[in-house]
Amino acid sequence: MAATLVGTGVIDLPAPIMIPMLFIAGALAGCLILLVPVVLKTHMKVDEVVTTLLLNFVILLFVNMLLEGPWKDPMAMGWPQAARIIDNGVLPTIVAKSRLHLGIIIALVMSVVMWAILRFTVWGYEIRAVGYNQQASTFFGISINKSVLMVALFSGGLAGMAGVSEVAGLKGYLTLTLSPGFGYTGIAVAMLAQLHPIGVIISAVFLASIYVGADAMSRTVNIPNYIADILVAISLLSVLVGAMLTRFRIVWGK
Amino acid sequence: MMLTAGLWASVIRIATPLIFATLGELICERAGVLNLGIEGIMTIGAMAGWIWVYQGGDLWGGIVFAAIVGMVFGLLHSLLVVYLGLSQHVSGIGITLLASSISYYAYTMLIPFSTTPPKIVPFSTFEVPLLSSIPIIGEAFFNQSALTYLAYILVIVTFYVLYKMPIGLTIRMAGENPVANEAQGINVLLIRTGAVMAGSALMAIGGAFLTMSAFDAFYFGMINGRGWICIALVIFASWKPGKAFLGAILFALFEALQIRAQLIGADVIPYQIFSMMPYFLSIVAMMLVARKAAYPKALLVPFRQGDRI
Repeated sequence: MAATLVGTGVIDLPAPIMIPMLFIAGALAGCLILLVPVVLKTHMKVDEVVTTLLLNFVILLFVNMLLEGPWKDPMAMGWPQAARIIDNGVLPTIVAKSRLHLGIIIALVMSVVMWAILRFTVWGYEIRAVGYNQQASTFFGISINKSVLMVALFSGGLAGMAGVSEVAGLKGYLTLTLSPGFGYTGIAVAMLAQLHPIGVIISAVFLASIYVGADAMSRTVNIPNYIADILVAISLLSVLVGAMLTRFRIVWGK
Repeated sequence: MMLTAGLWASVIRIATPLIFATLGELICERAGVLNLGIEGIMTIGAMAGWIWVYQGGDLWGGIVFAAIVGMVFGLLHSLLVVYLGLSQHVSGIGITLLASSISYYAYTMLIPFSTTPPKIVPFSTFEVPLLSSIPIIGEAFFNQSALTYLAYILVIVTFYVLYKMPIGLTIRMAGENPVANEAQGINVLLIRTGAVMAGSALMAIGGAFLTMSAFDAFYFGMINGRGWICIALVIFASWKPGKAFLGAILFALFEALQIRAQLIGADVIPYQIFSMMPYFLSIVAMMLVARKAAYPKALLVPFRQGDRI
């Protein structure tokens, strides 16, 4: 999110260089932020879930501070939003007259890359091993701390890139309401995909269609679009149960 | 800084929902279940209690209603993590997502198109005779709403139940060594479910305090991370009710000072820096105690009946 720094005309580069720069900046920002909970987790055994949930608020307030302070767009008529990304940094749309932009291609490529990394590299093997059985991994000389760090950096980077794609592709500027809880939706997406990188594409499209549908419903028949969040939460919980049930056989009347 | 009765009164006001929710989370965790649904359960408690009164119910009825709604979500969480043994982290976040979106959904359904949120008549403050005439402390601690007194009482009740009654021992054992529990012929799953439901009821009451005593209306995002702060407080309090009470007061003191500092330092330092402090402090508090934290041994560990170690 805080990747607007690079995009708002601090440096002026031609598009082919500018866009990768934006994504790298976003990814780095994401990595840096996640370093905090990871170090706390690996060195002080603080539960990473709680620290990240708390850090969310810190980061949002930080962005808010920048938006109301140094980054405030003087042209925005008092709205707390940052100046627009310069034209060379805006992701080009790939289908004419729609808002579908380059971000989708990058996202698709990244899922394939992640799949390949997890499936074919030693790193990926170690990461999966740590996930399945920490004790066995330690026994085989895999450093759990290192794997956790790697995973966190990856996921922080990817989340940062998601923010860049929203800012540079869709909105064109940074606002505080950039992400209406997409972070939490991400958890649901991952669970729906049974934690498979390629499956994520399908589940993301599925959940996105719920959101789009809910928006349409709220426009036409005045149903609050929070119905989408309810559906996403229910599908998250159902998938959890479903994944568990596939591991057992149901035996009646015994 | 001005350590006046006024400051302390606001400290107690800020601490009350934290006391409720921290006690709730503490009971859950003592039974071996991490309840990350706390944020959502507080939200829906705030909404449920407020709606009850807005629709013409009385204040205590609203509290009971909020507690029941909280228990329903506690039951859902325990069905998922106690009976099905699912990931307590993911399920908890799912419950938070579900409960808070249901509250926002219900609120927008019932009260559409309102720019200024409608208000209710909240709990009024009530002076405890004699005790409130103690200077400073009396004014701060004993000139509050009835819910705050309920919070004081609950700290003592929780302590008494957890440490002095057989059922408390059973609950603590469900979080330390459920196998030993089962060897006594106790149904661990039932105990855990009961603890999670009771804890969730307290969380919901904590949320309801916000809409029915601290404020008089429901706002979107009004819980604002209080649930996560309470989880940090439970760790900070090393799972002890008395320490949880003190932790909540200490935390609220920082919060109250922070709000006053915002007013004074607004020209020099952006107010967001001050607003960040509670979240920072929670992380720091967890760091301080994390190394020697005595986690309940079976926390996060699902239990299956008939399991051996």
